[in-house]
Amino acid sequence: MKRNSPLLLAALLASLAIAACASPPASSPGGSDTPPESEPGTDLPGVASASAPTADAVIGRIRNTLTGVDPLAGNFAKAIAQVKPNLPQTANPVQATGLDQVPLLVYAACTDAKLATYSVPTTGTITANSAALVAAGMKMLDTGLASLATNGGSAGDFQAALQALVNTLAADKTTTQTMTTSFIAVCMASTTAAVAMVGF
Amino acid sequence: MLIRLKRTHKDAICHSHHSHDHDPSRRAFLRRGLTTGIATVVFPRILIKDAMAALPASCPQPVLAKGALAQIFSEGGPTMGARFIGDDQASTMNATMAANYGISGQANLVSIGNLRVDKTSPFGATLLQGPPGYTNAQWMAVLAKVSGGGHRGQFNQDDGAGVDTGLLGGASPFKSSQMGKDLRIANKNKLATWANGLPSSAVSTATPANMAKVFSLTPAAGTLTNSSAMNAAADGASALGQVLSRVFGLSNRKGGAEVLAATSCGFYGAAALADPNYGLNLFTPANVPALATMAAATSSTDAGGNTITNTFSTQELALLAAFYQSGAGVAGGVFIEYGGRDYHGQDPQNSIAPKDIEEARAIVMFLAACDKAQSKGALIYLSNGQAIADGAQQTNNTIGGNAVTLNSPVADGDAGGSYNAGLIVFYDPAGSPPAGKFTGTVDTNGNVKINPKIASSKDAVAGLYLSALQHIGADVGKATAAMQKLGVASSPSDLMLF
Repeated sequence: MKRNSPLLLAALLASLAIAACASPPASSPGGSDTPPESEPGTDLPGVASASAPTADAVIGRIRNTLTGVDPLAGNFAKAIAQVKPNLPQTANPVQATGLDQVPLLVYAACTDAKLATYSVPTTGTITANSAALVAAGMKMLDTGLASLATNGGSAGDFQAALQALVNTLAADKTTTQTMTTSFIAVCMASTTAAVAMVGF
Repeated sequence: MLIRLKRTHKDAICHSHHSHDHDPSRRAFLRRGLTTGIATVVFPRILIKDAMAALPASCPQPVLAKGALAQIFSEGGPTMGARFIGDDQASTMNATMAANYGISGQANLVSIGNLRVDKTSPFGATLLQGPPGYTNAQWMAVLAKVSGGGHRGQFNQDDGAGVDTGLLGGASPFKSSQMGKDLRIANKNKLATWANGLPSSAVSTATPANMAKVFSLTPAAGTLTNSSAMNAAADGASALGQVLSRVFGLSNRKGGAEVLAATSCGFYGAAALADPNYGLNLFTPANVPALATMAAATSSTDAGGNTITNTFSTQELALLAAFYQSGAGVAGGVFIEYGGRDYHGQDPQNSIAPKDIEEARAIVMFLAACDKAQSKGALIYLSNGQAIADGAQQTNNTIGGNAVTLNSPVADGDAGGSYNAGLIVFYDPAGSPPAGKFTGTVDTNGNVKINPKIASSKDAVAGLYLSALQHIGADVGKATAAMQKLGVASSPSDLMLF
């Protein structure tokens, strides 16, 4: 037995080498091209999976994010009646469908929100009211995300993203944007992000 | 050592998926069902062009894959023998079988491909009359491109017993389309397990306005928004999403990239909805160039060349457009449930004949839509049960406003196990529909004996869907895998109907 050990070891090493060449690894930490199909989160030990918001979560978050909107009244209520069956029914982020409907529901809620509530003037140019529009967007993000937008280390990035949006609206040569269309655009961007782009 | 690189949505999807051996962008998205994200980036070509200009390359691009798929679920227990039957039933037709089926007899049977209908029955007469806007010769040419088949014997639960056994299926994402989702009309009962969660939009009543509402903004854009502002908002949301992705570590969390991409790409799709006519242009035949002339028609011709009244109902117009969008590759499948089809004891003239006419007209709309779209099509047609008949009686009814005298089934009692079938109708614009077949055998009384290889309605429904998907060139492998994951269709080859 002792005499055969080196041969056995060599055979074992050879077979391992062949196996390694013949089939791809089940998982490769360095090359994430081919992770195995598995349940969310199971291939990343210690790191939780993301989740998709389900229909009720979407509606609840929009209500929490926007001041003065009511899921039982106004355009928000009408849109819920139309869109709710088409919103995600599962929290599984890989299987969830219907996230495309979130901006449509957010739009309806944003038309219920009052500019005055966010100290945004209804008249004047977008450029002149740029700061108010950006502030409104930041307030919405903060309300929906526990003040994360202004207090976190990424405050400047959030602000910059909203400023870029307002600048685009102000410079729009295709359609002349009003304060109303601009407010709704800012509202849609901020609320959609807070509701459906956080991974939980 | 793990080196992290900044990735776009596209990269994230590609890298999180195991199939990297082919086109990683669109297919990966489709595989995830993320085409719902562009549900709205779609239809009228001019809108496609506009939307495409705004749609980032990282989002799945619209796919125009022709092929209509539809299902009619006739809930209850109608006289199935007075609808489509097979050649074997026709060739052995006798007085007893005809009475049990509720048809007039062998002399009045006519062929539609390898299917047979009683030309004097409400169902058969409606199919043969065809839609408004067609001459009889034109319609016969359409019917000549039809074949069919079915699984017989599994759909044997009358009344409410079998309605929730999963008799409604789904097509998206197995069938690629620009919308990436199905349209469900009045679907009230449980779907097949493998169809749960498939992307769809639902309406309770089929009208162009109801369908349009699913693809429109509430409230209407008016002075509140416009496509330019929506696109800017989508850009803004995507930028905010990138910041949030970093804050919440989405790139390290499985599914994070998918959620971000689906929401972001869907937002860009919403821009098209700022056009208040968007949904109406999809589901109003008068607004669909290929259907406009037909939609305006109020007559057709009969076999003798005479002009007859033939008008559309609002429901028929909606179905025509929906089927057309499925055929043209804009929509996934169209799934209709007709309730109250428990025929036993119902009045032949005022209840049974109108219901058979309504369903046959839906099939007519399906075939006409396939013809107009020049697309292959597959329509699945089933009920949970069946009523045995006690012959047929003469009734006076109208088909599209055309007054006709018919031989309508006299439904006797529930008899799910006597003769029932899950049927499929194939259409091929090139005139070469597949050689469809029936499973199960029929005795001299017309009673069916099930094929033991297809023991349950679950397998039969799966087989109908796999056959439909195969005919229109959809992803049968993907559908099979989804079914098998849930214990259905373990032997797909036994279930195929051609």
